[in-house]
Amino acid sequence: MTASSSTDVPILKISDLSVALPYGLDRAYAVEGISLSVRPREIACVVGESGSGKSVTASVVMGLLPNALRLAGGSIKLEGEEIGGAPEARMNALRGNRMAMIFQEPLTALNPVMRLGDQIAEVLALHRKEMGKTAVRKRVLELMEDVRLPSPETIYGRYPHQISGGQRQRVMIAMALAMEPALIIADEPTTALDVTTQAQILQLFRELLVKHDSAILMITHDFGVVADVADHVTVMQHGRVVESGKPDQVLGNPQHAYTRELIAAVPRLRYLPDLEPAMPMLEVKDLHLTYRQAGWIRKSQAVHALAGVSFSLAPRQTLGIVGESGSGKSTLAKAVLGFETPSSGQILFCKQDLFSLSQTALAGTRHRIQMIFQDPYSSLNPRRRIGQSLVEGPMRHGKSSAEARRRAVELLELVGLHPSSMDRFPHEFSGGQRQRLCIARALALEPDVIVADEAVSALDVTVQAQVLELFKSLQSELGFAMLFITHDLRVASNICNRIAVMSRGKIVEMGEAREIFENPQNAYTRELLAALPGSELR
Amino acid sequence: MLRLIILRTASAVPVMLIVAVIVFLLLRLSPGDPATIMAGDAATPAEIQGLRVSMGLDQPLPLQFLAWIAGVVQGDLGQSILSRMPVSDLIADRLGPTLMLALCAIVVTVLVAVPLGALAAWRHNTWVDWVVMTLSVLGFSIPAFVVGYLLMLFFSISAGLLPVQGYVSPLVDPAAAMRHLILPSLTLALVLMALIARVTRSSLLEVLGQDFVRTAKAKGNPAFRMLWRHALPNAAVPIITVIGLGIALLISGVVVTESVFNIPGIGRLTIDAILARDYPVVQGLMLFFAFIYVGVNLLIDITYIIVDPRIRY
Amino acid sequence: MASQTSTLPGRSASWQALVSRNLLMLSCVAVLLIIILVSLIGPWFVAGDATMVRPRMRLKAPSELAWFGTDAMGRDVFALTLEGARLSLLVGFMTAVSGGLVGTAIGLITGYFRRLDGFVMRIMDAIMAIPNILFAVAVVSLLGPSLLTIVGALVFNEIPRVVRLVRSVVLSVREEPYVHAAVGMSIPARLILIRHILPSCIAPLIVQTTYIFAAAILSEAVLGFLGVGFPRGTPTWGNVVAEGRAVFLRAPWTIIAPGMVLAITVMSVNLLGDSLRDWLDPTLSRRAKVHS
Repeated sequence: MTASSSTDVPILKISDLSVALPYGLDRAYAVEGISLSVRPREIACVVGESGSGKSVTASVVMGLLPNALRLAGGSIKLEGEEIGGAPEARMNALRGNRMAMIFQEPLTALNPVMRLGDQIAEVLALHRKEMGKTAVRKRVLELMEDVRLPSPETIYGRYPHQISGGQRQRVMIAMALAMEPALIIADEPTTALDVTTQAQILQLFRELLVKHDSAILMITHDFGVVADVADHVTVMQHGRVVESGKPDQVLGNPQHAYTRELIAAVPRLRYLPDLEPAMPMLEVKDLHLTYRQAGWIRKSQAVHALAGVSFSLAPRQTLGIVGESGSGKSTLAKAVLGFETPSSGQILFCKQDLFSLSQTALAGTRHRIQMIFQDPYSSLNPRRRIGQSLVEGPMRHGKSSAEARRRAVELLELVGLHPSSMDRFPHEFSGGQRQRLCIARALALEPDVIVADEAVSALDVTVQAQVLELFKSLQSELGFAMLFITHDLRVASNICNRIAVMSRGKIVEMGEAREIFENPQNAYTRELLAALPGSELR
Repeated sequence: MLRLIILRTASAVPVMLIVAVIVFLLLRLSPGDPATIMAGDAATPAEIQGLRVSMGLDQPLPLQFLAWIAGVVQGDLGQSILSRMPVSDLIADRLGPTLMLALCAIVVTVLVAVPLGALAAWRHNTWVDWVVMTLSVLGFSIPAFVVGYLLMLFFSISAGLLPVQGYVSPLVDPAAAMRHLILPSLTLALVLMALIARVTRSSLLEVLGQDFVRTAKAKGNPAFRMLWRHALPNAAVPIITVIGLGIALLISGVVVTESVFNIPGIGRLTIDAILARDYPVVQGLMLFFAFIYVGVNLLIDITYIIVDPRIRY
Repeated sequence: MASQTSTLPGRSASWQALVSRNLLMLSCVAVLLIIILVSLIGPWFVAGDATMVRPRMRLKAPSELAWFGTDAMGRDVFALTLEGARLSLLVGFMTAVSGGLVGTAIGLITGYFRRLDGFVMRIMDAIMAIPNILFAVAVVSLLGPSLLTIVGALVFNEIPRVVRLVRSVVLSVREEPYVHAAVGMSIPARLILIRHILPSCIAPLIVQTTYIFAAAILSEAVLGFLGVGFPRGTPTWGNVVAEGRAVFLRAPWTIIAPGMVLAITVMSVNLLGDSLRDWLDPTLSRRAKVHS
């Protein structure tokens, strides 16, 4: 869009930069010999999976490397000035002034006990000491206006926890813009946000770039974001640059094998057909769940987490529940799993109402609905061997130890892991492998229904693609039904037969996957689809 | 906000009630009959029985408790067996020296320990950190009476700079009062200083590892300003909480320190009452101390509710 | 790649490396072992009975004959200190172990079955509100001094701290997905507590127990000092110090010398707790945290 001529002096020029890791890790350098430059009014994206060194690159430019990491060589030039290894006083003068940074998680990146307006004003207080109090306040309100914060006067006196995630990120951006820096570094700035908010923030970046004459170095893992905003792309793997160029070039005609693999792994809208109608395995009827903030002095406040949700799920079928944060999709998962008790409504499993069962009957039924969680790191007891985790459930339900172990080994092979994993501990496995272990553990109980709550959201795209494939093949082999909860519409399109879109505790639209994507009836569904980044990648 | 404050205040009531039950049971279930002690050695069994009835000791325990607690609520903590004075008057008479001592100790602690702890966190893993932490462990480990006697030995006996023991009211002679208070306050403050320095350091270290500190750096905050403006306000909650919990240490310390320096405060009163088996006084003092502890912690919590924006109502 | 050349020092550590990294912990253990050992076998090496009264030897300053000097009854303070170590350490040990066990049981149950939680925690708050020395002094003087009453009184005050610690661990671990997974497999609560929750409590418990050990030794000494500890004449650190009070101005060593032994012991235990915490707590591990 704002293609700048190549004769411009780059605002940031990194050449042959290396950052050393502390001795004793699996590699010696976090980044090794990387070069890249950012030109005025340009958004340069650095893409890579976890461990690629992309965030280290952002930190080293700002001079914010963790203590254990050390600049080992190369040069970083900001507007022609060498800042690699510059003294702390000089860096303090530059940070917030000529270069600013926006972080991934705006809630933790803002000081929780300082008013938002004061946090923006602090940048001015640090770098423009001559400005009077009223002038600072006026400028802060202007900046808030610029980043489209509603009623800046009110938000000025608020604290971070009192506003929404999108608004927090806008405050961060206002803070970054305060001194009109030459360079803004944004480290995964939209990853923690909902897809509709993400679209708005990306749009905002684009506009501000022109207005404030800055350049942005954006770190991201999301090729959709790259396709939407990047003027220049750098792909990193294991601390090295594997490919860089214009986005249409890199995305359209990738040269390096890793880039091709990455792009191929990005989920695209692909649809599975719906199944023939069959006897439902699981039926949810008019489920309501209201949290009451009870108290005998304060007024009781009701939060309607679920407001009349109904659906049914047949064997071999996958129903996707999609929605943004706060839509009630995770509460729904918890209710189906029995971790939340609904205020009204029924959950029928094999025609039995789960909530009318006695304790003992429930204990005999409950394990036939199994779960897989988002975070593969906390899903396995770190102190128990894989074998112990895999046989615990089956032995509880009557299998002998030998039988359970034999089945556990079979399952390990089924999910693509070596039988020797039985005697190992969770920390010895990667995130993707752990998710496979969790799948094996769930399958060990021969469940009829699997509830997968954001089960692939924490994984890198290449691993994500593999795990999704695994789900599909296991389902066709074992025939379980699956409730697949996700915020990612593309992922949902890849694995679900039917999709239900949730918003504010209700299912606003439900139907065959293709129908939902190609012919959405509901306004909210249309909004969600329009906000999907990277339309070129469809 | 008012609702939260009322709720928090109300929650202190059951705690105090349970304290009262524990104190009451402890003294009633222990061997040795108050009436026998009160009546003296020369009393006949009939006299003792008469005393028992007049003191209500022949009633069932729950009734005795109700009678007692009804008095307590009205400020009547009973009467000393020894001096026949109301317990509340005894406490009031002896409160002055103890309050002076505790106040000085708290001031010394906050002035010394918070900066030291902050310094240790700021210079984490350097010799400064190491020295502060060693001093802190030392402070935890030396019994208060050893510290007291050591200070006395050096400053009073060898150097002759300060008075050995005793107490002078600041109303009578402020200068002498301060001279008498220096060593006891230091003795009392030592363990508190150790605690506060430690907590200041660890909560600052935790805060310094959080994301918003990185943001503050990215804005161009110099290290000291960042510590002062961003880290300390966020670390304040655990530090103040520990000062509240430290009140318990302070009370225990008062008993020992007043003993060492021969200060006529409620610490001495407590020991004297226990050694003389003056039950009503012991009961009253334990309730009084618990009340102070619960009250101070209540005040601290209410301060949070008013000051900390994250606590919502 | 670099991965082939570098090794993981944490795993292939030789025992020398282990020793140098945990020097503080090992030296604390060594000091404690020496104190325990000397207190057990020491009395046989000190000439005569430590509690024997020797009128001619009253209030002698420290010398090579009596390292810590002698007290008002002419007894060797060093010998008394050695004798006293046994009972003082025993009080510390018993308090730490029983406090740890009882506190863990209560903490596990209240943390996991929330029904009792509010009530039990109010009781814990109440116990914490009673100043511990005061409570111990009252209990011991009312019920009569014995090992049982002294340990009992000290334990009573330490229980709330253990309960709070264990409960806080339970409350956070019970929300871990792996515990949810176990619940979803209908594993009984008893087994969930033992297999999945208790192991997470062990490390902080060990650390807390060492702190209780240290605090109990100190408290016993304070009881003795205030004159309400073990019966007079029983050699404990508290009693040795208490004997010195009356003659402190003339013979300061009667308090300072045993007090220092006490301080060194307590400090070793505290430092041991600190280094155990650094060693056991993974969040404080020195392994570099590297972001993607």
